[in-house]
Amino acid sequence: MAPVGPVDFDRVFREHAAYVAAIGLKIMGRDDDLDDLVQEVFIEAHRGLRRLRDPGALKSWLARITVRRTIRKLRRTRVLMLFGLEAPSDYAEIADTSATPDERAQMALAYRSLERLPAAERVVWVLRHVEGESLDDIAQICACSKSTVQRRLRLAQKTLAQRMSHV
Amino acid sequence: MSDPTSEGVEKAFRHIQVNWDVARTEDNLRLARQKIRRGGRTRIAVSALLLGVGIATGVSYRLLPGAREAARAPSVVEDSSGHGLRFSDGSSARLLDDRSQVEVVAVAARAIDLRLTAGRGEFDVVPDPGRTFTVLVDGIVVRVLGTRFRVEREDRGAYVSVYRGKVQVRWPGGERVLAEGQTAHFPEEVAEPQALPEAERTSTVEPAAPALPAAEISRPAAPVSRARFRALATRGRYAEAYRVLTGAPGVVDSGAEDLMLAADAARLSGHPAEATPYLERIVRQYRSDVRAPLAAFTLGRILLYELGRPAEAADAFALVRKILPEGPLSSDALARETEAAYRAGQRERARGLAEAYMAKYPTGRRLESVRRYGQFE
Repeated sequence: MAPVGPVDFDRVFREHAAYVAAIGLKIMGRDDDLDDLVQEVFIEAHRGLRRLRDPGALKSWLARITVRRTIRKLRRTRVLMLFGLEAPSDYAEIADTSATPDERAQMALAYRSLERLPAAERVVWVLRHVEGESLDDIAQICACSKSTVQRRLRLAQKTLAQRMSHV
Repeated sequence: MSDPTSEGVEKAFRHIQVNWDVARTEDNLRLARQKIRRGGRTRIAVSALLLGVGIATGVSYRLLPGAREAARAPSVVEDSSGHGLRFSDGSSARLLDDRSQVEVVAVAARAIDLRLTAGRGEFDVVPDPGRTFTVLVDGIVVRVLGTRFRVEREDRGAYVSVYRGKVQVRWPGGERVLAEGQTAHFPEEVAEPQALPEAERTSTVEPAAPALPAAEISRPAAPVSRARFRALATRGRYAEAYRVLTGAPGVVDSGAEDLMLAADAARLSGHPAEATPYLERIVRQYRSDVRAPLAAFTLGRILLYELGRPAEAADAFALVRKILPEGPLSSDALARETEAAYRAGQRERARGLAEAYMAKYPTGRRLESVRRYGQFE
């Protein structure tokens, strides 16, 4: 298969920006950092596009970059929040207008609970339960083994269940 | 609610809305390209032609009658006051005085297009990735990427203020995205650096801009510096604008518009503390100006989120409501005042403010955080 040349960067961006944005939004739960994230992902992708031999692997490759970049952002946000330099997010803001107040509240509660998880566990949980990815796909996206995915899911599930049962 | 994967939670997650459309893709593509170019990691020049064709294709597509799905078109009615329009998707247009006029160009499934033919209007838009919301003023096109903004007709163009979200403004010869808290005149006058005085040239090549003196700004500046500052600031080149400002503070005259530009240049180039004197002057000296509520709101945000001065931030947000009690920023200001009061340790005040918010905006978009900071959870 022909490699994707640099001349195709615009096409790749236009075709996959919304996909990258969707993954980023679902993991972060907030829209305000989304533009930066998408740009960062494609800037990193731009450097490697010429080396990509299999165009069919493009989407999952972009997902891997997105997850890596999102984890960095989550860790940075957590540190900033620790020092009071980052405002807590109104997670309910990302809900569409058809969401009921209860659904908005549940979404916000779930994201606030996700804040307590290590970034890697949060990503795995969101990919599984929000994005609906298979364990194999998550392992590929997160560049780890399937058993690591399962372990992270179990830990995330346990923490979330504890956290949300207090509500 | 003990199971985080329960049906209720999963159902709630299905309501996540990614507001990502063609315009946002194009904006980010342009910015990514710029960063790549600056990084020197690409040999391929950006194809302006492709972008132009893309935009032209998008515009043509939108204008084709067949491309619109009449079945999904929202309905529109005049609001009860007779000073605005209400759309069935929840969006609204409000005229700000008797002489203002707006006409409906198109209300379709994929686009709502309005033309401001006189005066000033405020537009509150419910985001819909499948539909654009556009306000036309002569050759200027203000396209909504976010939710709340104001457009004022001027003799030669329009003045746009963004209270929440983002708008994209296009005019013959340029385009720009305005974010929350920003204002600008359009079309922008381009005043590229010409023959600058030697002293100013020196000041602009310094790698880091020094802090601005908080003193009043009255020293006269050369007209070319002022024009350059305004051109840079209105085009969003804040770091350069700020360097011009620090080299010659007199580039800012005492008008509210220039003060707002100076505040934008300072805060958006990473100097939030230096932005506050400008905003305070607007609030102090131009309280009846349309920019005053926005200046107070921006001041509050800087004090709260960037300078860690919540007590002062709470007072700034309170001022927003005092200046314009029923303005477009009032609900957000009340919510943020609640947060600021809580962070300042003023728990009773926070609780009272939260009660006021819940009573006045029972379905407000910041209800959740207000309840939290009002200690109702």
